[in-house]
Amino acid sequence: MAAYIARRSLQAVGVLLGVSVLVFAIIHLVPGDPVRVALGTRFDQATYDALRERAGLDQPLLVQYFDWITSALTGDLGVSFRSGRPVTVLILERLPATLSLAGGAIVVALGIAIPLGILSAIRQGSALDYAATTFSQVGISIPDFWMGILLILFFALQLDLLPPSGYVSILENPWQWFVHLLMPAVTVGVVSGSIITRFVRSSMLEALGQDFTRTARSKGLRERMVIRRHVLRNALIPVITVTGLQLAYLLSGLIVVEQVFAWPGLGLLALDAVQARDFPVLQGAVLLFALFFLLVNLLVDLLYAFLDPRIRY
Amino acid sequence: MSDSSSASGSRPDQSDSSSASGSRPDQSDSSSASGSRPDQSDSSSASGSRPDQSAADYDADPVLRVNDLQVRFGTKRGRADVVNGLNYDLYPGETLALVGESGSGKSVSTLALLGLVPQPPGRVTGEVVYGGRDLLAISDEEMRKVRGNDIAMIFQDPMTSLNPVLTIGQQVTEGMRLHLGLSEDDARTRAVELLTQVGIPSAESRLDNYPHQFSGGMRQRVMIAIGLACEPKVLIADEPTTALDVTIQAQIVELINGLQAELGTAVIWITHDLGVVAGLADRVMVMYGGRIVEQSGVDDLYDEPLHPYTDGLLGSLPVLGAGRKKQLAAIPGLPPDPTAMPSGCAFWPRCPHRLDERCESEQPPLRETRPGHWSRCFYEVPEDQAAAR
Amino acid sequence: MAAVDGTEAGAPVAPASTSRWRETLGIVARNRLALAGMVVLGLLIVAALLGPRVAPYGYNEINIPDRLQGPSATHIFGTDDLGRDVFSRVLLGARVSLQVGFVAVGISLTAGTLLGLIAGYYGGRLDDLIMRLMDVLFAFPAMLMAIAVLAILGPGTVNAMVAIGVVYTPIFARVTRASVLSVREEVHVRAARSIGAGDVRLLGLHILPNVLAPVIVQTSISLAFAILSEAALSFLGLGTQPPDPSWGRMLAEGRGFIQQAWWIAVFPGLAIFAVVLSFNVLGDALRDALDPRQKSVIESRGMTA
Repeated sequence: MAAYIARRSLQAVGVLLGVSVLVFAIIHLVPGDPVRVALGTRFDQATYDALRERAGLDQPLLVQYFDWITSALTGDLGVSFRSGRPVTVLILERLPATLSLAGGAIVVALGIAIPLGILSAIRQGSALDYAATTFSQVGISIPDFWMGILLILFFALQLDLLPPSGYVSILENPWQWFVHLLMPAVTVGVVSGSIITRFVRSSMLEALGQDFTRTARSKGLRERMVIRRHVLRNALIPVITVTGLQLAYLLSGLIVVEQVFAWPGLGLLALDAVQARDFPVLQGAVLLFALFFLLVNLLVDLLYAFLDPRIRY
Repeated sequence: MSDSSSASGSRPDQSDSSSASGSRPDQSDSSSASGSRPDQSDSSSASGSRPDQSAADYDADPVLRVNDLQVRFGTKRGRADVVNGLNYDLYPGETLALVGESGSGKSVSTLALLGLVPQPPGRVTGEVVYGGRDLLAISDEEMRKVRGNDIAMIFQDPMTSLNPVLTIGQQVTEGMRLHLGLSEDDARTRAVELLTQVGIPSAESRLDNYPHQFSGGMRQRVMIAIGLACEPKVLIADEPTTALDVTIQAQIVELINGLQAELGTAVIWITHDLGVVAGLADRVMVMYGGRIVEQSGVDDLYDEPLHPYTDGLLGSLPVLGAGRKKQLAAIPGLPPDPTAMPSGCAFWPRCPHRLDERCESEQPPLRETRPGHWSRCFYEVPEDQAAAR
Repeated sequence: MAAVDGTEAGAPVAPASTSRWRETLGIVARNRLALAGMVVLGLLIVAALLGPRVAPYGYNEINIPDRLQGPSATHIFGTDDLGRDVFSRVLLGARVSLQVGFVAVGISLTAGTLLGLIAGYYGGRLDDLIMRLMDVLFAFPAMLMAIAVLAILGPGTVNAMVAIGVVYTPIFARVTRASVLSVREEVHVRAARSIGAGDVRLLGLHILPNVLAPVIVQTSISLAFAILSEAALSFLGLGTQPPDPSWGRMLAEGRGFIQQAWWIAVFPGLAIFAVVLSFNVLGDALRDALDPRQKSVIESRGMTA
């Protein structure tokens, strides 16, 4: 088990390094001198040179990369070109909003997917099944930015029930936090949930058709018991993988939804950084996203190993 | 064990001439139903693993009676007639072999007995009498009390038939706790007994192991333990040895026979392998196209197969000591498509004889061609051709 | 001889014959939802091709006096803040969406399938290298990658095609590689190899036909999301630039007027939704017909939020 964790962690580090190289490369391919852009109209040669030197932009790329990655390991992701503030601080400021949205969305997603997926599998072919399948088809296809706008139109502007945009910290005002989180989380959650629903359903169907389910029935167990004790445990294990993938994706910044709801998350931070050529911020953000991705994957694998005795022993 | 030529030697003589097969013709006539008791004196078993005494009790009432069982399925290609009128009785303690190719309907017919055929898309009609009730007519709740309790089933593939995420202990005690109302501790104790009985060493410590930690043969033993946990009167064994090595096969057969003798359970043994049947069955029913085409005591079947299909099956068995001269004869052609069952004899397209013009258009009835030996054929395989094994 | 249906679900598909295509088409047609999807797509393609001739107004036909009118007989979808006919704009936006979708997926299809074939067929170090690269691309947030590519290349329709193409390459690589791996060890392939068939012949004759089915399904699904991605990018202002029509852009522009003139944003969004849904439904139907074991939409919706 320990060897397994070690091996996976090593793999993760490898991919992380790969991502860091890639993002570094891409960013430095972006035309546009960041310092010049950052200074804008306040340009003056002396400040320009000083800033460039401070940012280490006069060094060869390889050195820049090395410097960056080594300080990143200590938690220092550099300083924003635009604001001069440490990247780490900027990221930490935005983190709660992203975590709230990701968390809220997953709750909505699983809240939809698990009951719907299970029920539609148990009653395969019924009206419920058909409705559920249609719902998930729609949910996967609907543009989230459009759905967000529609929700805002309806609930915020027409009915005045919910605030149209913005974020409130949970520490400040839990109720407002919830109220502001509702629409964005539903928007993202419906899409995510639709993907997971289909997976739950197909996983359940597969488990229902397995031989051990037949054995369980042949013992005379009531169907509900068969499902609860035998089918569910087997069916839900693979669902963890999909949920993990979704979570990783949710944590990597939902740029468009943040845009629609003016949600101050990491997505918008990254978008701004790209457009302002703010390298350090962008690098830091992307590195974080990749880290999230890998962490979630690792967590999923571990959870899998824990729940599936075939892997454990 | 799979040598059919010495099968008769290990089987006690059935001296009584009245029908030993105990089946009913198409018109049910209960007076000729009871069979004879096998003679228990002659028991010099030359080969085979069949115990000297069969546990079959043909004097008693049948424990299970199947009347005109039919199972149909709705498929994309039309209606599939998988089981087309099955009639037989099962006596306490006997081992009844149900032989047929894949698709002959043998497994489905037994699933229907237990009410495990999903309806829809299936449709089960007929009568299955157990304990004075028609199992096909009782409520779902009533049926659940029978499943695993009075009638149990063990399946072919022990790899997939056990739940991978539950321990062996959980799976063995499940049925017991449900039907016999045992407490957790009592059930575990009994589980240990059962597992030891089926030949699993250090059973107590293995209760908390998972299926994947056992070998195939061990897993099948666990399945048998699960099947016999509530001491059922009928055990349906659906090809329990097919997925196992030949050496393990013999052990499993011996195990089931032994347990059966102890508990007096009637066993329906489903198989496609006539070689296996010889060493374990009292009576044999051969199925083809969803119907019984031949039915007799086990010796009679091997001595004198009456139906051309049985003849063909026996002919395709490798015989030890027959030398290289004899080529394995396969039956040409394929089994009938259940969605397009012919109106005549289902075997007609593959039959090497075809000497009766009724074969193609008329369904032959099941006739008692010899005492205790039924065959569904207009034509009779001549004695000299059949006995050359 | 009794018919035995050899085309089991999930078994490698034999080289496609006409009857199999007919059978596939039959299955797709019988699925009513898929049929509806195909109808919508058909209309869309017609709209894209005939757009300028069929549209009642021009894309940029500014007409201030008629601004912010609701849906009416003269303007089916109403007018926007500059008096432009929303219906015509939506109609003309179809062309761009389809173009971007097809070209972008074309890029991913070509690049991804090639990479997947090589990785799956040759295996070993090459396989590792290629798949690690794909892993890294996968770990990169898709939307951000597209944005970054557009930052390098500059905004615009063509660049959006490239960006989206790059983002969807890994999934084609994965799907292709998986099929190649499953077929590579099949008996008929090994038999062909043993009698000396060369790599190209093996790839072309034996392996490619089996790869075809999952790739076709993936194409349909990726088309759906490529179009969605283009809309998202345009919504952010990074994709198609004015004066070219784009649904995403219309949505962004209409957002400001959502309260007084909901139709400006709603109808373009509806169009996006309809197209994506149709491609998805088609993809599912194709998958049911060709290869039920394949994972479909789950890995595909990568970069739309």
